[in-house]
Formats: sequence, structure tokens, C-alpha cells
Amino acid sequence: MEYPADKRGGEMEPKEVVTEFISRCDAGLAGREGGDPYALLAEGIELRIQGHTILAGDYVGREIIEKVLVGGLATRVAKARIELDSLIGDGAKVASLLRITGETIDGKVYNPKDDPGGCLFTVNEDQISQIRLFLDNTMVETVLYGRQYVAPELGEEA
Amino acid sequence: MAMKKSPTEIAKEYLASLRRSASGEASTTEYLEFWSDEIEYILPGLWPMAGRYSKAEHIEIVAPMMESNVEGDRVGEPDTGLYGYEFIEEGNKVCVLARSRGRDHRNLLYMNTFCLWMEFNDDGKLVRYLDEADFSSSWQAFWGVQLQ
Repeated sequence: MEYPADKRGGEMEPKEVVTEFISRCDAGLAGREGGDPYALLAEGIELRIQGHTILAGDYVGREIIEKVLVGGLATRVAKARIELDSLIGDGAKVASLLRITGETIDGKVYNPKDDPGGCLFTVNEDQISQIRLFLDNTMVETVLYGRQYVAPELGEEA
Repeated sequence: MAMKKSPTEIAKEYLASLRRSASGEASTTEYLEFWSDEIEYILPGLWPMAGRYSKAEHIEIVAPMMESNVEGDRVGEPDTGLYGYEFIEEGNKVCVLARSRGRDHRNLLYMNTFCLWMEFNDDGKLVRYLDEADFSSSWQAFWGVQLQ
């Protein structure tokens, strides 16, 4: 699959690239016209989701992000939003607080308290080359995947 | 009035204070000297400690829970605590990535990766503080719950 890149020869500030990427992601999730978010990702983009959930780990390349992560989530998520809470930049490094909310296909609400979460980006030549995303893992396990935290049976831990 | 130190410098001092509290070198609340009275402290998620707290609520609700469930009698081990390894700052804000070392409820080695978002007032005190990590593993490690 072809991914047209928005190469502008380093004209955009890294924070602008990230802001535009979040805006395009949110528009795409809402079915609005907002531009292709994948075009702002470098071909060898490395995305890491922190933690130990089924979503956690490394996604390398735009195709894996689209087919494995986004495509996989689409089987569980009915609607979602990604909004920018805060953004700071230091050269090519950009740190953000995102508010990711949504609803699963079986009507469970993801992030009902609208908590912000951290997401770090590295931007080179108007393209995002690295993303490190901190999703709330208790929400991923319980809301997205229907798992439960239960107290161990007495004596089970011995 | 501008801050006298950079957000990164204050964050490093704050993490050192947290380590002193966790390792028993200082009181378990020494780190609260870095908090303004107006702080919004955010622990995201659905686990027992999750919520948005004022400084007073932290002292009343979160700190005792940390001391009983997270620290317990494990306070006092040298080198316990949070170690920052990446700092991204702008203005009065800094985002910190950190690794933690501690022990779980069975006294086994426990580690996590944290994303800390800190915003400071002109006095260099925290006014907004997001404390985020893999709290799914924390819930299991410190409360002994199991994921099914």
C-alpha cells in the first residue's frame, strides 16, 4: 500500500507535526475529512506501547501500525476520540498528554474519567519517527478485553 | 517571576527526594515539600489508587495506601525508588521517563516504567502532576490480585 508523505523539507516545527497528526487521527476516528495521519509517519516509524497488555510492545513500520494495531483495535472499538491536552517540545523530541476516550462494540466506556495519558514523539524532517504511548493498562485489560482483577483464593499464593 | 531552576533540575531533585523517602533515608513524606498546596495530582486508571487528588487528599488517602500496600515494611532497602532517564522540558513543564525499583507484596523484586508529567509554579512547586505507569502490574504486584 502506498503512503503519500507530507514532506515539506523540514518546514514544520516538531510540535506542529504532532498537533497535526493528533488532529488527523481524531478526524479519522470520527469519519471526518482531516488528512491522512499515516502520511506524517516515517516509513520506518517505531511505535512502542508500554506495559504488559496484549497491545503492549513494538510496532515497526506504517503497515504494521495500520494492519495490526489499528486494524486489530477496530474489531473491539466502536468509537473513539484522541484529543490533545498538553504539548511541550525540546528539539526533535515532543511530549504530550492525550485524552483517549471511546466505547467498545459491546458498549463499555473507555476512560470514563477522561484521564490524560503520556505520549512521546520524535520528529525528523516533518515526519514522526518514534512514538512511545502510555495507555492505561487497567482500562485496556478490563474495558477493551473484558478481563477482571480478582482476589486470590485463600492459600492460593502460598 | 521566573523559576530559579529548570523543570528538569527540579524533577531530578524531586526523584532523589522520592528515593530518600522510599529507601528510608528520609521521612516517607519528604517529597511533599515539592508540592504546592494547589496541586492536582493525577493517578489515571481503574485501580484502587486511581483518582485526582489535592495535596490534602493525597496525604489523607493516597499516602497511607502507598505506605501500607506499596511500601509496607519494605521501606528501607537502599536504592529503592524512581530513576529518571529522559527529560523533555519546555517553559515550566517537564515530561520524565523513569524506571522504578522496589519489592512487591511477596517481597519479590518489582520494576515498572513511569511517565511523569510535571508542571510547576514560579516558586518551583508542583501544580499539576500526572503519575503514570503500568498500574495493571502494580495492582497485581502490590494488592496480590490476579487477572482473569
